Amino acid sequence: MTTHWDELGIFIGLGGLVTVIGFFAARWRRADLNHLEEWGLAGRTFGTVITWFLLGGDLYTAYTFVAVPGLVYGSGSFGLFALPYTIIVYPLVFLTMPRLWQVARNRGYVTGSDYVRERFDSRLFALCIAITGIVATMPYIALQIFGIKVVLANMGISPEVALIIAFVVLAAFTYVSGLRAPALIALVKDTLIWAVVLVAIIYIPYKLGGFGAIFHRVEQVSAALPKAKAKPDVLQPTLFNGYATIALGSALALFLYPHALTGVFSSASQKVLKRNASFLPAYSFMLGMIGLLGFMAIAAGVKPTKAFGNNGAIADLFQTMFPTWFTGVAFAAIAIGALVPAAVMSIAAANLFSRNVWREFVQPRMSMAREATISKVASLVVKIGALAFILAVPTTDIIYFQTAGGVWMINALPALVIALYVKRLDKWSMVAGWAAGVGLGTYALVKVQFATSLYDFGFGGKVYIGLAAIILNLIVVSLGSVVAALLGGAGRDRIPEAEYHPHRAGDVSLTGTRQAPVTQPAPGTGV
Amino acid sequence: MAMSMPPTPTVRRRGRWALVLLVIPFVALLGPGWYAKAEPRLSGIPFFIWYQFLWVFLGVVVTGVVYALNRRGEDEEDRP
Repeated sequence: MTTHWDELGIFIGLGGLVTVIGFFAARWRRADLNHLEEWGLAGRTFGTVITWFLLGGDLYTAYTFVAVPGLVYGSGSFGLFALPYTIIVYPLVFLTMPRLWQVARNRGYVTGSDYVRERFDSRLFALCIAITGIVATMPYIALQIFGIKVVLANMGISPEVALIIAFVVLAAFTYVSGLRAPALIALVKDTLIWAVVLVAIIYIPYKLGGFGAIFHRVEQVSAALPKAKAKPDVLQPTLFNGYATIALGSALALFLYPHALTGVFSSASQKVLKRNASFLPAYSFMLGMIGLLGFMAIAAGVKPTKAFGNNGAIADLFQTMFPTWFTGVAFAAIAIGALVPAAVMSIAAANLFSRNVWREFVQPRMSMAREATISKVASLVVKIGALAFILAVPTTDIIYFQTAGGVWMINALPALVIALYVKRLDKWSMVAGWAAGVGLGTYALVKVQFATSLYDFGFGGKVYIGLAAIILNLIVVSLGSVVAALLGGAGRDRIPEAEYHPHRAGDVSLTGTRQAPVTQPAPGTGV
Repeated sequence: MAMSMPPTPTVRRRGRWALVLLVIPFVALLGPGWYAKAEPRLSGIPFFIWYQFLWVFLGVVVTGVVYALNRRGEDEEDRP
């Protein structure tokens, strides 16, 4: 293994810059970081531009940049499901997230489970949703580290020590600066990624003789392979339903993830979210272009090392095509791209722990400052856990956890989205629906040994497991709620409708100084 | 509880029909059978691929139009 010193020099330089920004972020829009709404949500003050960078940096992760071209490289056009997925997600965001944002702001919610807690007056159900979020997020953080590991290995340095350094730095500035750190670093990350992708999408086709030549070559390569291993550039009919259902299911799940909700809650107004529903698709375009790099890797005849399989395709393509200094920039972009989502995810998981586990079940009457401290410490533990995970478990297995994470996460849809609109949802039917969806999803995942997220349930061929799970979940919730209503026990929303709308002027303080209502003992019995 | 209903429901209703337009990207993209073909190509890129890239822009147009149509009602509501 040879060490590429020029690549490494640029990589370390950019890493140092990001570290400085991460610590400086604590002084940016200065406020009391011993308050969870400041540390964990940056005081809900982000405008359209910062939110665009933050959510873009947060949702389009380093792992995505490695895995999407990897999937295209390995199986052809199926990997492009990332395009319909990240297009149709934005009409959904436009429709639902402003309302969730508004009630979260009015009631001082920091997590999605805070909403569930009050909406259903059930700390058990809130715990179910919180644990779903934490379990889905942990392997996702680990996969961001995997993104860094791929580029470190390609630069010829031992990943373990470098990974530990990167994570100590990440953990330290997240602890100090909270959500402000990834928001500022996202500016650097996105600038770098945009530069790299735009150069790649022009320079690599130029070297390979144009897009026509690339796809001609892909079609030749695919035709020469046995049918089961073909890498077609046009989707085959056997995968139509799989393609459509995984795109729809992934879109339904994306904004239920804790790190997505953290980005949503930190924005300053409904308007910011609605505008971003129109501006964020720019990243979808970029992700599509990154997907095309997978076809370019096929055309260029890249042979990734066994250690990372298809996920090594993009790093190998860069090293084959680019001068070394630019490969250094590209690798730094991927690594910094991993720090932003890893920071937001760890903050989101930590907030779930401090709000919906610790405060709810261990120390109900803790002070605001103590709550923030619990979150900060939890964010450290989450990252150490993820790091241990990536060093101990084979990377291929971690990817399976992420597949499973989406299947589980989608089952929060009734609690976090449907509940915004339908008042008469029965609490116990919600719990049963969640359990049924998670159960069916897990059963199907076991059947395919977690190796894929498609399963043949007996109709429509192979479909996305998560979509089947949420359909069962919704059936149970609907039937249960109808039965409950017929028996005279129709569910109701504990939150008055007015809380879903902006308060009258003068009624709302501007930053997180409101007393969070969830701290008060809830009326009724609780569960 | 009923006394604290939002005071401006009529304002909010204006432009709400436009939300139906948000269905368009779903219809356009969730039936891959309609667009999974190689021809016509765009400078060598199969139709299946450039069609989906085109929909990134068309999707933005749809949400942008809905935002504009919905906006008058929202400005009343959306006081930060």
